[in-house]
Amino acid sequence: MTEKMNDRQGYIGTYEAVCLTSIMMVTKIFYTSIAVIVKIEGTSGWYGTLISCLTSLVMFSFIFLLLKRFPHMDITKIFEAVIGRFAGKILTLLFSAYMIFYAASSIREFIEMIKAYNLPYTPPSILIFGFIAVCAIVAYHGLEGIARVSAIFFVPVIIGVVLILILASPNYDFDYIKPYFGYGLKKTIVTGVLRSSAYDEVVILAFIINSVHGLKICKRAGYSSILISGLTFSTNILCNILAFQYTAGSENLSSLFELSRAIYFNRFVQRLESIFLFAWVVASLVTVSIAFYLAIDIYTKAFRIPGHRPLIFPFSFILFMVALIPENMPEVVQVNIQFIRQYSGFFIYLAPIAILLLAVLFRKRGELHNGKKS
Amino acid sequence: MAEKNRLKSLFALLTYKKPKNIETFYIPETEEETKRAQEIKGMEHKARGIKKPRLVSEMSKKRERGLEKDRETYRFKYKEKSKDGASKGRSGNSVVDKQVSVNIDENMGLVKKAFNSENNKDIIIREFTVGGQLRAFIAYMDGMVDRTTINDFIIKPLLAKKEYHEGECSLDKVIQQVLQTNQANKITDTEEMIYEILVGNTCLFIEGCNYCISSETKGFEKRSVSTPQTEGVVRGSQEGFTENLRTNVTLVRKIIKNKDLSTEFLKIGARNNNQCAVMYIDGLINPAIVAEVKRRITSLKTDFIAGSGILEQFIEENPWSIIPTIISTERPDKAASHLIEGKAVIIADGTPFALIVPVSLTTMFHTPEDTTLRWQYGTLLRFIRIFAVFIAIFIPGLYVALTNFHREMIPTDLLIAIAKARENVPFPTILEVMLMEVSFELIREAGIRIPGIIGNTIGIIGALILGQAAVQANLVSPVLIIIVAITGLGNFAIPDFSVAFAARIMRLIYIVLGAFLGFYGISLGIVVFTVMLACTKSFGVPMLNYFAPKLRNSNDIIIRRPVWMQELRPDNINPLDITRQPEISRKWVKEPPAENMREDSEEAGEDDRKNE
Amino acid sequence: MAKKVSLLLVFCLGLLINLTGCYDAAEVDDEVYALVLGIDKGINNKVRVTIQYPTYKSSGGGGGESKSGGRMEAKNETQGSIIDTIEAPSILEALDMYGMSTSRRVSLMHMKNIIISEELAKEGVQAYVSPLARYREARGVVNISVARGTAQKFIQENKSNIGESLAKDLELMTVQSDNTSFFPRVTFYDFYNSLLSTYEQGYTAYAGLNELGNLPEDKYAGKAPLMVDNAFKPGEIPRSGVAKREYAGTAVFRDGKMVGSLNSEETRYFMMIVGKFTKGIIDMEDRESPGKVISLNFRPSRKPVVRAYFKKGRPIISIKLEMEADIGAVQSRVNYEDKDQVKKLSTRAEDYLERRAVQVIGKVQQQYNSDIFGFGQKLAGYFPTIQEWEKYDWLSHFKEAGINVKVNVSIRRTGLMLKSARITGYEK
Repeated sequence: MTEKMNDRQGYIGTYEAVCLTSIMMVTKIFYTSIAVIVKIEGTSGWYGTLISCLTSLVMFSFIFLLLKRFPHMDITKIFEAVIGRFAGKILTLLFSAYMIFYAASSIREFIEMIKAYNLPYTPPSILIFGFIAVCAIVAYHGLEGIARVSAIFFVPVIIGVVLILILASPNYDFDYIKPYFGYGLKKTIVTGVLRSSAYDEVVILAFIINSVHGLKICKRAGYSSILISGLTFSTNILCNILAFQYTAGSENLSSLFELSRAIYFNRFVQRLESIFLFAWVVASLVTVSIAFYLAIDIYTKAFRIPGHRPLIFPFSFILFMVALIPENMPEVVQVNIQFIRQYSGFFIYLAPIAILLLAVLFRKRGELHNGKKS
Repeated sequence: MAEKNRLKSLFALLTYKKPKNIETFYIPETEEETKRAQEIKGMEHKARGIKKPRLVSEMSKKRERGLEKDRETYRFKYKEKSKDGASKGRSGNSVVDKQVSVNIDENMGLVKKAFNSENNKDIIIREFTVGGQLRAFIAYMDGMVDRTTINDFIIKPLLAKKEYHEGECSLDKVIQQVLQTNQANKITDTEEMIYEILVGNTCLFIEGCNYCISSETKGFEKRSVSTPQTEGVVRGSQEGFTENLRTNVTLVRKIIKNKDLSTEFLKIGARNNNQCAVMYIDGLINPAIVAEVKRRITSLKTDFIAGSGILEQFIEENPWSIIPTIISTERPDKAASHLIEGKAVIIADGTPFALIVPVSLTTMFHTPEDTTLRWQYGTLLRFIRIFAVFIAIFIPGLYVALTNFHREMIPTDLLIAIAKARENVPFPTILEVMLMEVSFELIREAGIRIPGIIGNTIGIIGALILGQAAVQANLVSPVLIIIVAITGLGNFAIPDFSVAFAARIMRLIYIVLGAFLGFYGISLGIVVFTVMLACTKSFGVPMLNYFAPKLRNSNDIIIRRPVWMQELRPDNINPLDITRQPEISRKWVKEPPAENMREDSEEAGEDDRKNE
Repeated sequence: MAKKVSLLLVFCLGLLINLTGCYDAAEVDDEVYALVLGIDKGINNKVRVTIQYPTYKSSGGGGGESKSGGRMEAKNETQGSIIDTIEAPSILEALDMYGMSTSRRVSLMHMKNIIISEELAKEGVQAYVSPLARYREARGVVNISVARGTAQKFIQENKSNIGESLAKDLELMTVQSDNTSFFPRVTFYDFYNSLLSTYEQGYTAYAGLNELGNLPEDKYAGKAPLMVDNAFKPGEIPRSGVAKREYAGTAVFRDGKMVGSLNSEETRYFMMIVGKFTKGIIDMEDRESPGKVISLNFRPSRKPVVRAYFKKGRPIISIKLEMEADIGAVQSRVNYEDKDQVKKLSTRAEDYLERRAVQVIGKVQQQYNSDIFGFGQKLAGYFPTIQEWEKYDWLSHFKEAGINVKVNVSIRRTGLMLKSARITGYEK
């Protein structure tokens, strides 16, 4: 207990850990993700993402094995323990850089979308500034604050999404899932495996393992958040195919937003999409805050800096700059987001797995604490 | 030189400063933490922060000692300072001797000097002789005492006493045989003697004794117990606290007749020598919380604390938080119900309010009525209140955002109606809203300050401003009147006065955010506010408990389940005894009906058989 | 000092945001909300766009109407709303061009109806309609319809006669589709999806102007025959009244071009097959007493069951309609409430519906060759992948399909009567 208490991050419970990872993964449904999947996989997208989900479960198991091998160590320490301090630090820093990239791309995707749908004439820098300011405030409160915020907002966000799906149900036609195999089974499976990158946010658990109470809870949080987001993705893609067919479904900038715009029950129940805006903004804010905080946190862990707060300002600046790099909307979607949701898994999943292999090969193993595993 | 300093300060803005390691009060927050702490061998006591009263986030021994030292030196310094200040402030008033002397003249001089009796006519010193030979005097504060008590039960018996042995100090005998007051203590310390006189007791000095006797003669004017002014209920107790500390403590004790209910009196305010009581149920409350409350109160070094309002500001955790972290209540029954849950109640002399700590956000929306009514009604009330809070905080902001940014969301007919109404209004919506909000707040504030005799006028003025007149003058559109009126209603429906204030401030913030960035701005505000609230603690208890961190449900958070289903106390304050009642609290459900009833029915059955 | 400086900085930054943050803010009355958008073929330019928006005058009623201006003005400002027409290269530019004459920005946020002229529809609508899918203010739930004649004229006659609210009038007009099924309610979102679809073709409601001269003088000299399958196209309904505009029938599209239309009667059978028919009274000639009418109030008892399969390479589609009916009116006083008579009547209704449905399908299939029924959805299951399905190209094979219709009618209730008693002196 004593050495745990020295940890500056504070503690988060199982529920918060699940919400933290889930909300980070689930936020994608608000963006281009669904349309892109429908474009690639066609009518089979809804189970294609379940293949991604399964792949992620396997990948996470490997990461978990690595964590189990080195109890009481977060993944940055494991890197250093296995491949040495220098190489370990570089790998850790790469993760930090990726998190910044992730946060910046998410911001940019969000901003592009809110400009398209809602605030077309507000300069993006103002929107980004407000966004990053809030993220900085959230990050200032540390992991505990972020976890609590995500725990509070996760349920309303999910309720909002479910409400949209239900209210839009008069538009569904189940015949639109035919032909059943989309653009071919092979394409579905290959894309499914590739798109497991869309679930790789689960890796954040490996960085905050010391704040989660033990490996068992980490495992439970990891698996359940992957399953929750798998289910959410699948339902959302399915509903979009049912409502828009595979043709128009691949066109939408934000499929969920379009779905909410299609809600029409009678002349009283319609025009609800702006309410949905709340869920959208809040989920995006929480997601970016998590990524932003982790970028700082990983950085501080690499250099053993006590306290993350002094770094918030410089990192916000970096984040702002990185977010402004892409020139236009297609570049954001086709370069940044494509990389994050389709290819980042190679780095996020495979790096820890390679470390695991090395650890097994060189018979490295974390010391047991008091002869007892926690 | 100056330039160098400026450069330095400019540099200081950018450079990294190592944060000071400030230990904060900490008790386990998440459920897992509690469990985990229990699992670790030999650490059970830390699970709920039980044995060690100050279970501060684990500091190493060394640091602890260092900190203690720091605190000591701090105190020491303060003492010195205050002494200096005191000597400067009331130079002629400082007390010379520490102890009551044997010489009665010296004592009288002491009292006279201490209370500055030449100028201060409130101090009464009455000289007389006991047994016809011993000189004696009593000293008391005029107006603070009950004169009949002094006349009949102190002076009369003393004068009536005839025989007296010379030589020895016989105050012991006086206490035992002569004085007829219910409380009488021996006092040797001068400071204490002064305090006793100040609070309304009478001190008796007799020649040849190096101590005096303080008798309980308090009898100042006080308001009698009446109904609560700000927290009315329909069903439930109609008693409210008064300004008198003793009365208040009694009011609570009247409800909780429990030997474990402890009341500790602490002095607050260096110059007004006020008193406050910390009440808790021993064996139920987490001792860490009691220790923390006492630590905070005793550490206070300030000259004037008039009552709970000021005390609250001195001991609250986060002064920047908009939402209060301490509940203040006027109702003894509310205080009692929180005591029973394992919380501490602080009552300060001077204001008819008690402070309840620690609390979480949800408790601020509870009223005693929720429990006195049946559970369906209580739950309905809670939902109405939550709706009211939502309205009070968000509606004007949402209106501004809707009309300025999200016009597609307004039903077409309404939109056209708003546009028609606005056609002749010369102000932007935001100004309209601000205008109405400000006038509403004005009406509110004026309504409180307005002299009672002309109180009726405020209603007329209010109706003019928030009504047809404003619309006809083309100052505002009619929709806005509805918005402001419903916001006001929502605000009044919030049970906690401080939370209502917080809602008013937040409403302004959301209006501004909504006006600048629409729903996007409002969402930004919501996230910032939530994270701040989530990280605010009230005596170690996170404000948003039950939502995050998640805890066991005590069945009385938002939905109020039937009282017999509320098996647990709130988990967030880590009470020593978490169960409120057994699983089956209504034993009669499982038991057969009472004996005689059954006999009756059996007899009836026999009768039937006979008839057959 | 440092604290003050940083506070000042934060304040300045906040001010910066605040001052620059209201780019998108606009007051409600800064804009006018076009409720109807009419698209005509241009004469000098590509497209002629007509909009109708409500005015903000405090009394929207007809009192001020009698003000005599020019004739055009009287036509363009009616009953609390204004109609503007402009010619432009595209719809979006037209909206901007209104800004040269209208004092407030024209917004499509609250658009209720899109009216396309028949001429334009026959040339193809993709070029004009699909850009709206990209436009932020245009909503998917807007109703779309094709107007006979020009959209401009149609909109000029689009008045709210019953109440003051034009918006309410427009919405409730389209909801009439659910009450009568004489025309479909098609949203822009449905229509746009069908333009892209590989399963089905698009259709819209068909509207037109009635000059109110169709109520003919005594043509049959008092001996008018009974015409039950009386079908109308918009503009042909024999009626008189206030409103000139009317909706009747369906405009059928193929590959984004209007190829023909179904009349009001045919639309009902079409909607039964699509599953959008909610209720409607259908008159049949009484076989027991010719010249008299039986009115049956039909509603679907369940969704139509459509099965599709391939038989020797030829797609076969079988449709089963389950209908329920109540007897609405019997002129002949024949005792149709009788158990056996009810059965007879329902068989006759089945035959009748079946015949008409087959006729409608035949017309659409042979004359228009456009799968507005969405049969492709059922066939797509026979192709494992999208590639194969698109290669097969169902929409071009629709003409070959064999289609069977089976209708099942069960008459449930007989109105308020148990039995039709003879009315004395009621001649046979």
